[in-house]
Amino acid sequence: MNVVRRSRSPLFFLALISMLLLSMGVSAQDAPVTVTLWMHVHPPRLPLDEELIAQFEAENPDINVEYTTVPDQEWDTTLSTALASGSGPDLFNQATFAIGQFYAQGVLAPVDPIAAGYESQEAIYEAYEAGESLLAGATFDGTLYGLPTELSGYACYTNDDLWRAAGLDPATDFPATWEEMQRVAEQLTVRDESGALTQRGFDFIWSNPIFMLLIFNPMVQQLGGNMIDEVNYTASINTPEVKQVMQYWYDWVNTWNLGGPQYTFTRDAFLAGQLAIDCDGGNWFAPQAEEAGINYSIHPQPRWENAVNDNAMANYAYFFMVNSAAAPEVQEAAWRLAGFLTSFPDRYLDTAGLFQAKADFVASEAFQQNEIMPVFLEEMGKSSYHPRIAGFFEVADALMRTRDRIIIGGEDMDTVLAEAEQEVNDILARAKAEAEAAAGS
Amino acid sequence: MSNVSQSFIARRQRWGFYFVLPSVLFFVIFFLYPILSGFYYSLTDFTLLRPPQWVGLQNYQDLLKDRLFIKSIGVTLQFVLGSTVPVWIISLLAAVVFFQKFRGREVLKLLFFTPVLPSLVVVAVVWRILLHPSGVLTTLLRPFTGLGEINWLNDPVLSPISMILINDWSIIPFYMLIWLAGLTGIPEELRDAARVDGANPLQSFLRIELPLLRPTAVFVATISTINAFQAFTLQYTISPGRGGPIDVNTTMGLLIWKYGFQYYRMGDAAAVSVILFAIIMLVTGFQLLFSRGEQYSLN
Repeated sequence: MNVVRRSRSPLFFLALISMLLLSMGVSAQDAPVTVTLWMHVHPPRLPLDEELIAQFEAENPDINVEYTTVPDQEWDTTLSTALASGSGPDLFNQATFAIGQFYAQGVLAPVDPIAAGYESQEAIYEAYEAGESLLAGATFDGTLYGLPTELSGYACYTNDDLWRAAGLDPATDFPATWEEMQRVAEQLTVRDESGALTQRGFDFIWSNPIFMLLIFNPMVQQLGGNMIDEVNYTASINTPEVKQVMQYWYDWVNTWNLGGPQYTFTRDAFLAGQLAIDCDGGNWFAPQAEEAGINYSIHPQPRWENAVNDNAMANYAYFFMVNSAAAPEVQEAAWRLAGFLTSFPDRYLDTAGLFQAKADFVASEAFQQNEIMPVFLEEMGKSSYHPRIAGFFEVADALMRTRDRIIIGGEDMDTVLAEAEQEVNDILARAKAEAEAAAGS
Repeated sequence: MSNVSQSFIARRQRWGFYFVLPSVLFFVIFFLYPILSGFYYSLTDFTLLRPPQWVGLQNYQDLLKDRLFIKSIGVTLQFVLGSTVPVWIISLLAAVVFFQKFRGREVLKLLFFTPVLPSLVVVAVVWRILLHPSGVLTTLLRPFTGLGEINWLNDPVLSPISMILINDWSIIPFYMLIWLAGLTGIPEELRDAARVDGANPLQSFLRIELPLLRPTAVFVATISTINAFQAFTLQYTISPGRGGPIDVNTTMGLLIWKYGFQYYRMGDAAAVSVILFAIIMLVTGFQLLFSRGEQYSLN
């Protein structure tokens, strides 16, 4: 068989290549932008997320959303590994605990107000109730790096049945001060014949180091102290205020025998009806208490009798944050999605118990008639965020070690606090140096 | 050698190479590369969130002054000691017991083996309940101690012991099975001969069986030591504050995780892992060297 080869002219190939390039350009321009979104697992929120993402994609055909949920206990490892390998999400729902680290290392992209549906950054602050304060968790050097998916602050939950069984009324007898708390807790505590606690009146949450910055430090702040200066990256731990709080915690365990780190996690104990007061629950804890059949009421946190500040426990939050390594068009699409998903505060509160403090929602009748939210909002308004520092978890671990050396180990408080101050200052100095190196690179 | 036979051998070698290639590639990608990259990261300042920066041996120098790291070595060695010697002895004794013929032996053996079946996380959760200050274990011991509460997990002295107890409880049956296999491999004729020669059961065990169990002993010692050095799951799952109280349960394995994924100090984490690797290699090498003494053979 003969094959006749025809020679093509150079013009033909030129035209072919041009058409190919043109078609590629057109297809790239028309191709939808894909935004990978990672959220931590909160089961009540997931169906609403999926519904709203589908609605967003329908309204924005130029954007695809790849939605992934990551369990809480795997979040830090999964996210940091993904970011290290360059396969991190474009948009992620990150707690404020590591936000200082992320900001210092340049991982976060500033909020794009226009893409998120606002006229300017100032308009975002105005759109939120007490915006300057409640969005401070994601604000660094006057720039906003996130939109909140859930704002949290703690109030005290009382198991009203246990109170009545002890002859107390939580509405009138709830302690306004930490000094009163000891007396009330003693009345609510039940011990067996061997002296073992079978029901605690109140107890601190001992299990996780972060509570040293969410609960212990705010108690120090009520007295006018502050263990961590997030601006200057310095620690003040060997102070009279810290000693007063530490002595109270020490007495709680060793002198008054009202609780301690060896007992069941406070939230679990409260839900099991074995704890009469739990002061480490956000508004998201209310559905769990209802499901457990606890007859509860909500109260503000106690203050010290000699308090100089009226703060409650530290605020913390989850914010939508955008990966600064994402392409500009992906960042723009990600902020558009974040702006959309934070436009339904009523539904997120009703469905998932998550509080997004949009000013118009807070002003609404539905919010004002909510039985518990005004208490939480008022407490959050009086409080500030936990320190947003690089090295947050290392500092928290060092503070927990300090607490345990004194309370469990029985070491001399002055010595331990002096050593802790040095140790935390060393951690902060290293974290600050790394942040400065990252900023310079 | 003729050209024909040479090419045959070459062909066989080539095919042999093709057959082992998948295993070699698997080893290179999943073992050699991570080991080498781990060593490289140990020479860098790496926060996971920024590209690594070369710092040479700085991380190793810093670790020498790192109180947490130095403490973790002590914690690890303590855990290794508690998770090896008692395990070897108790699992061997259990194997000797289960090697005897008695009614219900198989059922008992099965029951004895059950702690190995669930994952260590499940074991930890169950033990956390058992070790509640006023829980089952405290109640059982109350007639002897008179105490209504015992801080099994929050007492700096008791907590590491509790970890060792839980760990040993969950791994002894596995090593018992290894010993049992070793005992089964010893020909019955040797025991019969010893009996004919007038040896009692203890003498027979000490003079005949134990020397012949030497390869099994080396295997048990090596594997249990390596596993103990890598301790992580139990301490991560059950110890207060992941490694507490006061870091008495912060093993080197747990410290690697903390440095890498909690403190964003992956360079330091890699340096700790390299040191742990070196310690394990050293101890294992020493064990293998020790085992190369007088060999007993059935021939």
